Amino acid sequence: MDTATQIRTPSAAAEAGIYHYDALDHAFITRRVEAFREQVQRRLSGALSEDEFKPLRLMNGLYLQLHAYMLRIAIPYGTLSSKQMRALAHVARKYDRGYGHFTTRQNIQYNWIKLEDAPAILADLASVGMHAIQTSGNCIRNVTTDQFAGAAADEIVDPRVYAEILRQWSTLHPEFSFLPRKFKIAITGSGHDRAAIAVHDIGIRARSGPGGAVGFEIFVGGGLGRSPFLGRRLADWVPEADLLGWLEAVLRVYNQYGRRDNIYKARIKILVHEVGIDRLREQVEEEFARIRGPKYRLDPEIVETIRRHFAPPAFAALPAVSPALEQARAGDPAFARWTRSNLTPHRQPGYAAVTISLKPTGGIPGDATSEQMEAVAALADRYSFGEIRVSHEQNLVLAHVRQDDLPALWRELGRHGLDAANAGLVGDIISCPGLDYCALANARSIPLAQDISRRFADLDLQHRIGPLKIKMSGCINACGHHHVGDIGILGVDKHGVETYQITIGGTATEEAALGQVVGPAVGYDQVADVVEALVALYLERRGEGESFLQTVARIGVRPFKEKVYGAAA
Amino acid sequence: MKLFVVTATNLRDGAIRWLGAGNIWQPLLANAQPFDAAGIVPALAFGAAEISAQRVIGVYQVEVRRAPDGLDPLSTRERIRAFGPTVHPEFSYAPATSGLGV
Amino acid sequence: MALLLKDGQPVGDSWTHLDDAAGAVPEGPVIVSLDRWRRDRAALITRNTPVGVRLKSNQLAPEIAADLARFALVALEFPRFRDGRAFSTARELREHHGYTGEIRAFGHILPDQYQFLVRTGFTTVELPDGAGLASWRHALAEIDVAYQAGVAGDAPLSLLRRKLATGPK
Ligand code: SF4
Repeated sequence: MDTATQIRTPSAAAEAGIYHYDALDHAFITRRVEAFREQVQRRLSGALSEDEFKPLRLMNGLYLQLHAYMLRIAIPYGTLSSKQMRALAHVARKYDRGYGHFTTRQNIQYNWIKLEDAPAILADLASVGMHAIQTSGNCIRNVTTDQFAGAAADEIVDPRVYAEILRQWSTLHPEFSFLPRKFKIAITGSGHDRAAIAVHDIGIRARSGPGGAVGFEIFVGGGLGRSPFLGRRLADWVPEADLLGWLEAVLRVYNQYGRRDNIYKARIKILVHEVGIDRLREQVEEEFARIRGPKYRLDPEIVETIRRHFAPPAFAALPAVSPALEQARAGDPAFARWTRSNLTPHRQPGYAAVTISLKPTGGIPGDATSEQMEAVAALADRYSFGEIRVSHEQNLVLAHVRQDDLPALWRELGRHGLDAANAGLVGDIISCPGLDYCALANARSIPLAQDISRRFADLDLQHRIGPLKIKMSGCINACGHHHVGDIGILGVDKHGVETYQITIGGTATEEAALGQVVGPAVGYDQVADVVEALVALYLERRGEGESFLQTVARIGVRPFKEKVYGAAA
Repeated sequence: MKLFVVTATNLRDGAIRWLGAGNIWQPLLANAQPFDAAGIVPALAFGAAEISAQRVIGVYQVEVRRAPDGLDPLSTRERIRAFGPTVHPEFSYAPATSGLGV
Repeated sequence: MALLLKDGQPVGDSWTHLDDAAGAVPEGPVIVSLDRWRRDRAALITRNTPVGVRLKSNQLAPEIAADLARFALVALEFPRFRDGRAFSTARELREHHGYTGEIRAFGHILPDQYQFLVRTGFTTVELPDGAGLASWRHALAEIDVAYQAGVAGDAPLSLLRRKLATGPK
C-alpha cells in the first residue's frame, strides 16, 4: 500500500460535507422513535383505529401501498455519509427484500415493510442520525439541492449551507406543519440549475453580490401534478439575513390564504395563479415588513457555524490534468465512454464528481441492493471522503474523486453492476414506482422503463444520441416529473386499461419548460416503439450540435406527431 | 353472471388478504371464495366487522372472472395485487394466470 | 363539559360558549361568534362583563384587529386537525397586534399539536371529548428542543436551535 492510500484511509472524521448531529439532535429523534413505538403498540393492540393512526404513521413516513407498508426515509438534501449508507443497506437486508428505491426527491423508500417492524427500523436509523420526519403530510418536505453542491466547477454559492439552515428551520415548525398541502423547497447555487427549482413550491437561487455578500433570488408556485406550473419570480434579491423572515412571510400568507376546499387546488401554485404574482408579492412584502426584526434575522454567526460543517475536504494539490486518467482513456474505449457521460467537472484541479448510474440496461430505475449500497459506501470511504449524494435523477454521486483514481473506481463499480455509462443519456430514465407498488397509480411505469432501456442497450447508440431525458410517472401526481422530460410519459387509466400520454420538449433546468402532448394516448405495448420513433426523428432532423429541445423548438411537435402515428398505427 | 371476491390488507404487515371459505383470510387469490352480487353483501359485512376488530384494513370487493387455471381479476391493478409486482418475478405470489408481462 | 388545559394541567373554565341561536345572554363571561359580536356589539359592550370572540378557521386576525382590546379571550377553531390556519392567526394576534389576553384552541386537535399550539401563542386548549389527559400532558413534555423562535421567545441554545421549557408546570 502506498503512502498516499494510507493517508486517505477513511475515518468518521474524514466524512466531508456531512452535518453531524450532536447529543441534543440525537435525543430529539430518539424521542420521536419512542413516541412512534408507543403509537404502533396502541394500533396493534386495537386501542387506535386506522383513522386515528393514519395521520400518526404518515408523520413518520409510513404509507400503505399496494403490497405492504412503504417507509420513506429523509436524506436531507440528498447527502449521506458512508455509515448512513451502510445503515440503509442493513435496513434493506433485515426488514425489506434486500433492496431500496432512491426517489426523485433524493430520499429512499422501502417497499416491503411490516408495520410491526417500523419502530425498530426507525430506531436503527436514528442511531446514525436518520429519520422519516416530514417525508409526508402537509408540511415543508425535505429540502432538495444540486447533487454536485460543494464540488461543481460552475458553483457560485454552496447551497448545502442554506439547505441545512432550511432543514433546521422547517423541522417541526410550529406554525407550518399543517399547511393546505405539502410544500417543497429546492435550492441551487450554480448558474446551471441541477435542482429543478422552477418546479418547486419555492425555488431558491443563491447568488453572490457586491463584496461577496450572499443573497437569494426566489421563485414561487412551481409544481407538476394535475395543473403544472413553472415558478414565478417573487424576489430578485433577498439578503442572506432576511432569508428566513422572507420564507416565514411566504409560508404565512400561504397558510392563511391557500385553498383548503379542494385538494387539487391547495398547492401554492394555485394561489399564485388565482391572486396573481404581483398581489402575492405585495402580501408577502407587507407581512415581511411586519415581522422583520431580530427574531427572524438569520444571524451571520449561525451561517458561519453551519458553513464550517461543509468546509471543503482535505483536497490534495494536483495538476489539472491526470496522466493516469488520460492513459486509461486512451487504452480502454469502455472506460473512455463512461468518463464522457458520468463525470462532472470539479472546482478542485485533479478531481472529478462521479455519477454512479442506478440505471443498468433493463434495471429498475433508482433501485439498489444491500450489496450495492455497501459497495458504494466502501468506495466512498476509499475515494470520496466517505460521502455520497443522491441525485433527483435517482442516481448516486461520489462528489470528490481524484482523477488518478477513476480507472480503479470504474473497475470496482463494474464488479457491482454500477458502471452503466449512461448518466444524462436516454438510458438514464427517471421513473416513479407506478402501479407495481403505488396505491395511487393508474398504470405501470417501471416495466416500461425497463423495456425502453433494453431498446437502447447499445451504449454507443446512447452516446451518439447524446443527452436526452426520459421521465415517466404512473399517474398525474407526476412523481416521475414527466412534464419536464425531453420525452415525458404519463400513465392514465382508460376503463381499467393502462394507457400512456406522451409529451416532448419539457425541461427542468434554468430554461424550464413544460412538455407538449404529441398526440392521443397509446397502449402499454406501444410506448417503447413511440419512444424509439421520437428519438429516430430527432436523429434524422437534428442540426449540428442541436439538443432534443432545440430540435423540438425549431421544427415543432408536428413532425414528431406524424412520425409516431405513422409508426404506432 | 358477475363474480366477486373480497380483499383486504392485513394490519400487522400490510400484506394482501383474500376472503376464503369459512370466512378465513387467505394470502392467495387462488384460495379466495367467489361470490355473486347477492353473496358479496354478507361477505363485505364480515369484512367490516374485521376492520372493527382491528385485524384488517381497507376491505373492498374485486370483480374477477374464471380463467382456465383459476380466478383472475379484471383490472390490472387487482391482477398486480393478486399475483405480485410485474418487475420482480422472484416476489410474485403465484404464477399469473394469463401473464402480466412477467 | 370539555376539559380545559393550561400548561398541561386541567384548569377551571369560567367562560360559557354562547350559541348564535341562544336568545338572552347569561351571566358571566361569554364567548360569542364573530357574527354575533357584530350583531350585538353594542349590547355586549354595555354588559360590562368580559367577552370573548370565537373565530372559524377562515376568519383571520385582521377581522377582529380593530376590536381586539375589547376581548378578554379569542377562541380559534380547528374544524379538522389538518386545518392549520389558526396557528398563523394566533401568531398574528400575538406578534402583530400585541394581543395579551387568552387565546384558546377548540375543535378537532391532536395531542401531537399541543407543543405547536403553545409555541404559536395559544394559552389554553379545550380538549375534544374523550381525549386522554395523559397523552396531552405527555405531548407537551415529549420534545424539548425546537429549531425556530416561538412566540414566547425561547432561549437560544445553539445554531437555530432553542431549548424549550416543557412539560406540565
Ligand atoms: S406519480 Fe402517481 S403512480 Fe407514480 S409514484 Fe407518484 S403517485 Fe404513485
